[in-house]
Amino acid sequence: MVSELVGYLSTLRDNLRLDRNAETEVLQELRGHVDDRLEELKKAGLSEEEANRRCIELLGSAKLLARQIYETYSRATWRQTLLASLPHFLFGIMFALNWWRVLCGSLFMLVLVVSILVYAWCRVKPRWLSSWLRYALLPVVASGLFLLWLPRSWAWLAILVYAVVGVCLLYCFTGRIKYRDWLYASLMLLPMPTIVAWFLVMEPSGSFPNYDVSWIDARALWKA
Amino acid sequence: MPLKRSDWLLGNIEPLLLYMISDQPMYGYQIIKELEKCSEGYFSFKEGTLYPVLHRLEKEGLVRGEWHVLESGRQRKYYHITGKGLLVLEERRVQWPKFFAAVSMITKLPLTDTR
Repeated sequence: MVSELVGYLSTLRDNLRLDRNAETEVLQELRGHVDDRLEELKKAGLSEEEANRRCIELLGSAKLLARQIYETYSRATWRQTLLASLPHFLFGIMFALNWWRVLCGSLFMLVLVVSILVYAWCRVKPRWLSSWLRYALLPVVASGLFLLWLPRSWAWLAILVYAVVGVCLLYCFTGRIKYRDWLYASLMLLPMPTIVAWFLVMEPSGSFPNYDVSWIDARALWKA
Repeated sequence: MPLKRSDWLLGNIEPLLLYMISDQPMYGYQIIKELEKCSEGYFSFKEGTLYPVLHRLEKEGLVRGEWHVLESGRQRKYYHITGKGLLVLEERRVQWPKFFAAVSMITKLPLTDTR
């Protein structure tokens, strides 16, 4: 394949910004199209260079094509986005209402989540289901099963397992998003340090330490 | 600015693709050749723009893509219409004559005079 066409496909690949699997498929399909078109143009009597130039002309702008394909793959509805993030809301509610301390509360959440999963799995296997299974529930189930197996005095190890599995998943997903858009990846990670810091300073009773912030009031500019 | 022929096509390409794929499973290049042939050259556009449309139809569940391995070892993605795609196509088939009749009433052009 002449360098012009190689350059065209390279520009396309650089601007696609899809997941690796999707990118491979798209490029393979377009390469097949290019091969078919080149074959036809050469049969019509064009030289290899002329056929390459004509093929690129017929395909259109590589950047525009990449953007159109990216927009197609990036489409998601609000409904899909909300359903995919629902486990986080549910777990947030569970901790905000302190239901995690109460067996009934935890069981209720568990039954609710499992019911939704079973329903989704048996019906249509929507795209948000993978979000639930992979990074919402996997750390919880892994550490939960570990906790059942551990003796009581070693229960802290389950938290460690949760943290490790969570960090691994976060690393994997950040890597994939960073490839598509580094700005989105950085925004996704933005709340993490704050949340981790909150958990680290939280006291065993579930409350935050009583910090003295009167010095802020003393330095308030409006009191100058 | 007057609408170009390609703008008209891109606004109506999805039902055209569904119609063609409903006849037999087709791959991208084949679809382009068939479109040109059946429309006697009227429908021609930047070939790359077909693929975002095909992928959009696939994401919406109207078509299903399947990779076939050819004798030469190359792989080709064939698109098959799905049940949902057939339903949508049937809806469009019902709507199209009404659409053209309405256009004819406004433009005073008889339906047979399309050139």
